Amino acid sequence: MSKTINFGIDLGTTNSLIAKFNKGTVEVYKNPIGFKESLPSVVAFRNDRIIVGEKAHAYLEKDPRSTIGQFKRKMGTSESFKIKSIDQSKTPIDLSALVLKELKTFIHSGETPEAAVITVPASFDMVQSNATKTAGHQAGFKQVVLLQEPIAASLAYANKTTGNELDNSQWIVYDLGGGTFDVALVRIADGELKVVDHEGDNFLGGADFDARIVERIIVPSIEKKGRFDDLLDQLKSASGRLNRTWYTLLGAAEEAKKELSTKSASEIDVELEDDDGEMVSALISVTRSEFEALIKDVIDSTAELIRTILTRNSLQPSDLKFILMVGGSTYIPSVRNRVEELLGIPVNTDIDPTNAIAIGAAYYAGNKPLELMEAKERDAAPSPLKLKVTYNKVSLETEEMFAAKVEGAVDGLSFRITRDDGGFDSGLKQLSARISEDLPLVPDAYNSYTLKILDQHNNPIAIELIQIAQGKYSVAGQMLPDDLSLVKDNIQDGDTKLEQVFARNTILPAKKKMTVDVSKTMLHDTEDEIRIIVVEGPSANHPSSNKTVGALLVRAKNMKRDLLRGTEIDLTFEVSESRSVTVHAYVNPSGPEFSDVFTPKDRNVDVKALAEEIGMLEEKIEQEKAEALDNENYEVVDILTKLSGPIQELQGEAVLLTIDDVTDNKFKLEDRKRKIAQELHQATSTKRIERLRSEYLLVRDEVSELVKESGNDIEKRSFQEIINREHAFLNTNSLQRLAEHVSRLHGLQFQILMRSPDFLIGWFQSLVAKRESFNDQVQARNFIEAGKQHIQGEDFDRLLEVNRRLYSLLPQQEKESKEMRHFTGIS
Amino acid sequence: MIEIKQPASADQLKPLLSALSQLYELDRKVQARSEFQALGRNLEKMKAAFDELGYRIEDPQGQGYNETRVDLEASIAGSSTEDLVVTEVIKPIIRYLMRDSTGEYSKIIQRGVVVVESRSKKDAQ
Repeated sequence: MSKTINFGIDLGTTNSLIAKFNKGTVEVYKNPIGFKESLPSVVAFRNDRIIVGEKAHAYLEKDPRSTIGQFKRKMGTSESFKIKSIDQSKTPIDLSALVLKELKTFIHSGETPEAAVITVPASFDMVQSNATKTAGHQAGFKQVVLLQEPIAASLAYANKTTGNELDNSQWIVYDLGGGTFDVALVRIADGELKVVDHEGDNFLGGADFDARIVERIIVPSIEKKGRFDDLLDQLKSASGRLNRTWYTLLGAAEEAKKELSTKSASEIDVELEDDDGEMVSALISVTRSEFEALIKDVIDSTAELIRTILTRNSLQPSDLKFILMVGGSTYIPSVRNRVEELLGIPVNTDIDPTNAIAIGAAYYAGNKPLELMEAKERDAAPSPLKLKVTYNKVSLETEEMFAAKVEGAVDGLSFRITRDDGGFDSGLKQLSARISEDLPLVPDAYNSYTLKILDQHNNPIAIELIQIAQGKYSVAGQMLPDDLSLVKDNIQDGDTKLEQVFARNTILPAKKKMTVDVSKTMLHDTEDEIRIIVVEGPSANHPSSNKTVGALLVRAKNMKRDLLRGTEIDLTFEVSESRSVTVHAYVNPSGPEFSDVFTPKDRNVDVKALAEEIGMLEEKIEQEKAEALDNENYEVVDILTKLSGPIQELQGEAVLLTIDDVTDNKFKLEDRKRKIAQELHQATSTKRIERLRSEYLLVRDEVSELVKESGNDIEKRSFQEIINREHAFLNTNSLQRLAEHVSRLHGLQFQILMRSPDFLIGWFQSLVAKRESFNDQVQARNFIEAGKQHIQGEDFDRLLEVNRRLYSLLPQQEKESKEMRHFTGIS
Repeated sequence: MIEIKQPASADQLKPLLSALSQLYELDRKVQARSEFQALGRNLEKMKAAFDELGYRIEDPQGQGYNETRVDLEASIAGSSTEDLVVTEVIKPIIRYLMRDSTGEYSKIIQRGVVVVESRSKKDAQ
């Protein structure tokens, strides 16, 4: 099969687009910078660079002697544009070629198109059409096929419909864009599309609508609210006091206009200073009917142009199949409705009005054979250039100079540097033997750039990556040697657990915020306290085997009010480059703030907490020993027996420490405690992991059945997600991860059971069995009565509610069957 | 080149970007008025939550501007195009962050929409 052109380009007066036909579908390419499909057809020559598109558009009004737009209107004339900044003239062909070259950079597949279909207005004559062809050749296309815009739009439509319903019919293509209006009569006869007649207005489009909203709705509203002499002049004049606000208002008007396409009203928020220096703020409401009235005369004038065409061709509205709407401004409902109403011809809005022409061009290109003499694949020839680059790879500056020496023939070549996050583009610059460019850096980040050397058609011939680390990365190597974690209560097991705050190898300085819940109610006039304990060491370990970095105490006696269980505490952790840790706690909603700094040299060990920890550890060793004896695991018993002596010794010494001990005894004791804890966990970890693994498998099977029988889609997905990760956490030695998944399964199980009548009845019965202990016997009786009725009436939603109410009547210790430990007071 | 995958398509992101722009707007209003100071902490928490999800709001107010800054869509107020500075932010820059063991990378998913004007003119005002 012979090759086809495939690439279609809408080279517009205000915007241009590129699309590709591929196996029956069309892809409209997006600008790699900003991801928009359309590229403003504007070229700016600023300093030594050429900028095409949106950036150039920003300079269009303010630097008109070096920024050119709307040059399509001059195609085929002998006129050329004098560019002040480069002191040269550029023809409309040169400028169009630059836009075409820029469009090539949208092609993300790395292909270099050798041919393209380029669209031209129906009004273009031979000279203008030939000029467009020349621009295409100048941009490096060896074959250029032209296609009329109304035909392209019609093709985009025809390819969306099936059958031959269009055969031997005619219609109008109505193209109202941002700044131009075109209308064409298209006829299809014997399978061939033809533009029969056309009209247009080169100075009419959506931008006019935005300006009208500002001038006729916003400005009069503001004038009523403050003292302004000549508000409109102040806004529109470049030297006006409020020129900045003009652009803000235009933007707001455009947003409102878009919103009015789907909503009946929109609001514009305005704030500006009046002539007396008073702040005037207003929330201006624009309704759809107000907006419609505002643009009615414009729409009517477009309908007039269609009438002109109809009269000229002796046609009645009924002779036309439809009016095909193209161009962004045809999104406006009143444009569609008014045109239909005035002409009595149905409007057709089946195609995307913004990219229809490019899509149609690509469809055409997909059927047009490539007629190149050398249509062979381009060899990836090695670049004949040698590049020697110099730049700082790390920096504390906001900008870094990049320099390169180029060896080889540089004539006719150019270069361009872009930052990979899409925030910087040097524009196209002429290549010389030495190049230099200031690269702006994103602070505290790894900045990655791509330097491309391009040939005269904008095809890359060499690519170089530039990487610069800014800010904290300049001290790379300063990394956290171990995880830093927060100790929290593990209420379920009456133990403590770790939550990782910073992972090992985090680059310093680092900052993180966390929110924790208070896990016990503290009365404000007691000695109670919450301990924010930060430890260093693997976060998968048990807390007691990690090194304490410091503990921030939130004392009840420093509170004005009681601290209720469930209250949130905002924690901020900061680690400086010298590894000192600052912990900042803010207690919601009572307001007090606490903070402390722990430095690695100045270790912070709380004597009271240490004594408690040693106590807990001793108890744990005894428990484990008893269990190991029961299981006849003598090896473990042996290890644990050896630990009994030292821990008791430690306990005795800890009692002797005073609260304000200033010697380093407490540090020594803490170290010894940590070593014993490590040995304990080492000896028992295999057992606990094994136990958790079997618990996991057991619960998994139960939940699997349950999910299959009564799970909803979300629950099925959640279960599947856990199963998908299973191989990872089942093979891990991290108790925390295993425990986390077991608890998730339990959560899922409970969630499903809550809907099961049998479970709810069972739960109700077990609550009824505890009737003696309810706090409020009268209420409990009522609930129990109600519960029985709900069971009889099979109203299980209500039964669930009763169960919850009854549960809340149980005294605290009944709810928590296990004895709960509150070591830190947070969970 | 480091390839950062877009978190979602542009259309899917629209409501999120709109929410983030509103958050920025709210933050600016709160900062400007002392009576709203108490809301600052809640806004900080919201921003931190979005940051956690990988979305970061960047305020270009007061930053220098030239034609190489493609993270901003600018309207130039006044008549001079030299020594430009951002004087009005209509929409902030929004980045999508990706963190891995080698560092933090980002991609701009919403360009800032701003008004810029010449520094000399601004000083003269």
